[in-house]
Amino acid sequence: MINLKRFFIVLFIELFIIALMVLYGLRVAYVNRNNDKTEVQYVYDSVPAETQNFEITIDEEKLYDTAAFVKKFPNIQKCFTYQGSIYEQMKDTTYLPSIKYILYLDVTFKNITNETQDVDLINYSLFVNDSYHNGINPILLEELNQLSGLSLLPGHSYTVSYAFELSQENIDRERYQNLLRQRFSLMLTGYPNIQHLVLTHITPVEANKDDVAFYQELISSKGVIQTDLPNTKNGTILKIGESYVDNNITLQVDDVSIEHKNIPALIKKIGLDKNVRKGEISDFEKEYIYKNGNAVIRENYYKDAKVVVVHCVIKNDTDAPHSIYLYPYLRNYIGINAVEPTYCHVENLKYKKHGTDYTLDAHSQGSITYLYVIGEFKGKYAKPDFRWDIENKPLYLGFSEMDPGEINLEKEILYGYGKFLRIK
Amino acid sequence: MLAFEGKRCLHSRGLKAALFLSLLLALGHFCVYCLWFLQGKQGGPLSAEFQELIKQGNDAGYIYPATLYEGFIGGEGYTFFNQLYFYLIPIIAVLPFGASFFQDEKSGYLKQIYIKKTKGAYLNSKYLVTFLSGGTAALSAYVFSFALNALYVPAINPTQVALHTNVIDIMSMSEWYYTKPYLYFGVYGAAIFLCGGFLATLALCISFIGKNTMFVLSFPFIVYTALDYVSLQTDIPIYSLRSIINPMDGYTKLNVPISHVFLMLIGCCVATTFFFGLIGRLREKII
Repeated sequence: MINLKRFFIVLFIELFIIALMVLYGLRVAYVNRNNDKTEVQYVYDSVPAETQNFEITIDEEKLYDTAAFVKKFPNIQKCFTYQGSIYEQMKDTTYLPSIKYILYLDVTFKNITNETQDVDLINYSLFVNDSYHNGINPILLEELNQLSGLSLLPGHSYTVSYAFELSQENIDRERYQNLLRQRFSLMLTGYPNIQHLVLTHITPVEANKDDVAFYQELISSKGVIQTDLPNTKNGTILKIGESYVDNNITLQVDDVSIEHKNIPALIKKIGLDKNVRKGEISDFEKEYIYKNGNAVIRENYYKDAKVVVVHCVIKNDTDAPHSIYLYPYLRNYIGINAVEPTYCHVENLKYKKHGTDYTLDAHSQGSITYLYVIGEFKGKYAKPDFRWDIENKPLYLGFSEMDPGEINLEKEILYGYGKFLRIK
Repeated sequence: MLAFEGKRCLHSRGLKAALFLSLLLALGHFCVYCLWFLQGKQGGPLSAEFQELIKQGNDAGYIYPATLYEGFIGGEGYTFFNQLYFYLIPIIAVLPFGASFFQDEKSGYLKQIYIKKTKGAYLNSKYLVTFLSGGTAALSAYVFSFALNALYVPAINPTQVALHTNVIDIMSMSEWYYTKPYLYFGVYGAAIFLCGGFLATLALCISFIGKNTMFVLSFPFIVYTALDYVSLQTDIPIYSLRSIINPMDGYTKLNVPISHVFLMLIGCCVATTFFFGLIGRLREKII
């Protein structure tokens, strides 16, 4: 009797344990039911890839020695110059030299929908195998393409140049020494339809000795840019009328005006229709700027936008031609809110395709007119620090290449980053 | 002798205490991570937000569900349980059988054993059972947590772009982490087992000069913490056992290949084997 009782108790316990294990297994299977959504779909660059909104084609794939890249695109030299950079401020002499390769891609986006689509330019990460990924350096993106945002009308396409820095500090040494044998892929879409575009036609571009020597000097702690005029230092707020200096070129603002009506007439008045980039203005820009005669860009809070026109005089009083990178943001009285120039019109300055550097000959003068379209945020975004109040408050041009972080230009609080010029 | 010692270990209160402590750790982590942090939802508290983004056709690559490999006590860095677990390993490891030799000697039981069995047989089986019990106890919270959290978090491969982890390409076994995470954590499980075994046998070694059970049980913890301190002061990560066996300790992964970790742990185990075996055979009684 006791044995029978014990038998049933043991049997019950065993059945209970089995039931628990079955329930456990079912629960784990249920939790893992969607695991296939995380599987990566690999597509190859020989055919256009499709996402929900775009057809994506890779037109060019090159693995540059960084020295060769800097030579090919001189406007990005400042990104690899130690002197005056954030690396100098942090006393980091190792990171810049560690970037030995740059992967350069020309990526064409075509809108395959019936609506205007925004291209999220910085969403496309580079993967090297599975354990390394690199996001896009927004500064390089801006400098190579002269844009920081892109929208495409239905059926329209645009080619964007991407440059991914590959540092030996971030990639396993063996893999870094055999980079071309690794699997490079561009992440096109994320979860739940993860799609990677595998790059199979990467060609190496090596630097010659002169390029290497120039580049080594650029990234060394001794710096290379010899200037007769001292550059405007980081952490400077220039007053109205003062000059911004960079690479022996001075910039002074000689006129600031605020317009809020009849933008097409304004563009004609300042000669913007003769812009050196004429023919390169895409349809989407025209639609946004000319709609209803007002500057209407993106969401409704730009309906009451005003336009700030800033006319700058650029001088080179030295004996040699010099180049200057000029893409100043307009900043509000605090410095937190910023807009990039919507248009610029240049005179007497040489401008290269794929560059944002303007070259000025020796002992010469030119001008740049910037047009900024700004509107006040409404609703929950209408915070005091983000207001422009351009009729009553100061305005600044910001020449910093890095995000200055927390600043307050009204109280002259800067944490060592950024160069600002008050224009009003 | 081996079976006898094994049976003693299995029935010991120390083993039950170690397993109970491990279960508590695993349950604590489960409650904090799965119930509070993930709120019981697959994908976590961000799931509602990113479900909305996905509906809008947003292709933001950083959106990614929570994964079990970053969501159990050995693999995640959001809660303090990972650090707590690796700090408690020397205590959990010695509980089952670490003080058994000391107790055998103190109670006089050892003399009786030596009458019936050879010293070698006793010492070998004692060492082996202590090593195995220490390793198993150290690993138990790791395994319990993995099994428990599997009820809520899917076992999908981690991805770099989601930024849930600090494992980068230059770290040891990083490719495995992103492609075969079960192997990655399996290797670290083996390292934890070896470390637990070493710490338990360290207690055996100190038993020769220990005066009370508490000293014997706490000695491995003192050594473990002291090595951590030495590592911090000298900036040589391989001295910190706590760091080199932790899959989520980024600093050591950068500087210490996994082969060095195993070499060091095996070296430690060989050292305790040699020390315990030699002293145990030669000594009558030191103190």
